[in-house]
Amino acid sequence: MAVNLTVNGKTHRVDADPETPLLYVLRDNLELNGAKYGCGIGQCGACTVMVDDEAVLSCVTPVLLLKGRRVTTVEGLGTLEKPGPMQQAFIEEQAAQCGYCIPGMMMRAQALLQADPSVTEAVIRAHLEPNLCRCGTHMRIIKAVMRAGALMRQNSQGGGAT
Amino acid sequence: MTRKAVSAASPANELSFPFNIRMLLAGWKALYLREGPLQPDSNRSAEWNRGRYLVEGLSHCGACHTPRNRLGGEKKDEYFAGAEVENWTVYPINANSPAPVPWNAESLTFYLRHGWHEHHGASRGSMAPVTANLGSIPEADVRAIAAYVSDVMGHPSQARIARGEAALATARKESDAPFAMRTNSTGNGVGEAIFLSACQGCHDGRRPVPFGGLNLHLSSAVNAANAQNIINVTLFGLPAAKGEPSAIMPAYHGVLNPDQLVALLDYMRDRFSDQPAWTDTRERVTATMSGEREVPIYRMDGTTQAPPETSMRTTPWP
Repeated sequence: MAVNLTVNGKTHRVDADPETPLLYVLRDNLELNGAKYGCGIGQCGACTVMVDDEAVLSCVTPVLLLKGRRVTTVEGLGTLEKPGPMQQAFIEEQAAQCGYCIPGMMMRAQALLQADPSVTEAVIRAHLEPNLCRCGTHMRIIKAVMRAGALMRQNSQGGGAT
Repeated sequence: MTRKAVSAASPANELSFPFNIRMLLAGWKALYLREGPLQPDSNRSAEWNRGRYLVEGLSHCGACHTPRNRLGGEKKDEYFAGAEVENWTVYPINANSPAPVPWNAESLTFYLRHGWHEHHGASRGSMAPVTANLGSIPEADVRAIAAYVSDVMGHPSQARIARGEAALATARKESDAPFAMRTNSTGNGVGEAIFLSACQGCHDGRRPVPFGGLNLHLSSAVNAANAQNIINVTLFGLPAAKGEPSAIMPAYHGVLNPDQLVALLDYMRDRFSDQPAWTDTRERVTATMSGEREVPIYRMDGTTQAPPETSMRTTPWP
């Protein structure tokens, strides 16, 4: 069955059962492998992507719910040549060990900072709670998110691209 | 004196009028405060009397479970008849309990102590802190509370017991054959599709409470007077306790629009309950999603007592 899905600004027509979780469509049909399968039951956050302006758990989101919604994955935050502020911050802070939790962390942080780029560390910690990291990269992740916020504020002041 | 006196003024009263006029409390107390020790009922057991003493005093279950009048006094003639507190629906814990499997003293004791029960689900919303606290008091006191409350609920009728058995049987059948849920399609369209794809994975009952979601044939929420509790947990999830293992549920407010949520709720009521359809679902969904109905989110602190046997063997590996 064919389903229309708008991901990272592009509309795709995918051959998937409407009850398929978004995670599977992103990875299997669209080969956007940033979002990861960690638990499949919405408890680890490795599958986090954005739908419109909110962070959602794509492993428990059937695509039938997403008519007319805009999905953003980590691939939509920038490119290798031109990384967005979130990606740049994570690179600069070297915030990854195995890297499995990172796209989910970045997307949840992106949703938070898009709403308010000047949030404090305490707010960042509270908002990242649904995302787990088994390697213990938490301190660097938080530093990276703080850095991304600073970059976003800088960009919006300097009129640069986000 | 070796210390200088300090001037420490009491902070100003922040209550709004007329609650900031302390004298007015005298009137309220004249109406609603009953003073003096609770006289034990000599026709009842010591445990029952202890339970009543705790329930009427320290536990003050009626503070949430008994509806209040306009002055905020508990309506004594509607004892334990349920209420709505902080936009969470507080279930009746009298003969009108909506639980499909009727409560008894034993299941209530377990639930209050552990924060979950395999036939009733996990303690959540404003009940979470209650079971969190009751998990740390002497078990005998929890037994006493349960003995008293189950007595208020009364012994269920044969018909009610039979309905409970039927609900359990259906839940067991569905856990054994998870796709049985699919073959029993009610043809209810998008609500069913959402439930089967987003909810059934945890709520088919294959993983027992508190590790998995309750099979909703056993759900009090689905049989309650309104959909508010299901709206709350679906939109906002059930955040895990801090620093301890606990039950957890993801939040769906990012992916559900009001129409989808209403369709899902109507489906759930139709499928899992024999009661008539709710009439105020759309109003509640709209008001909760807009924030007009403000819902405090409680962590699942009340479920940190995991089942006694998890992965540890208690019998020899042969």
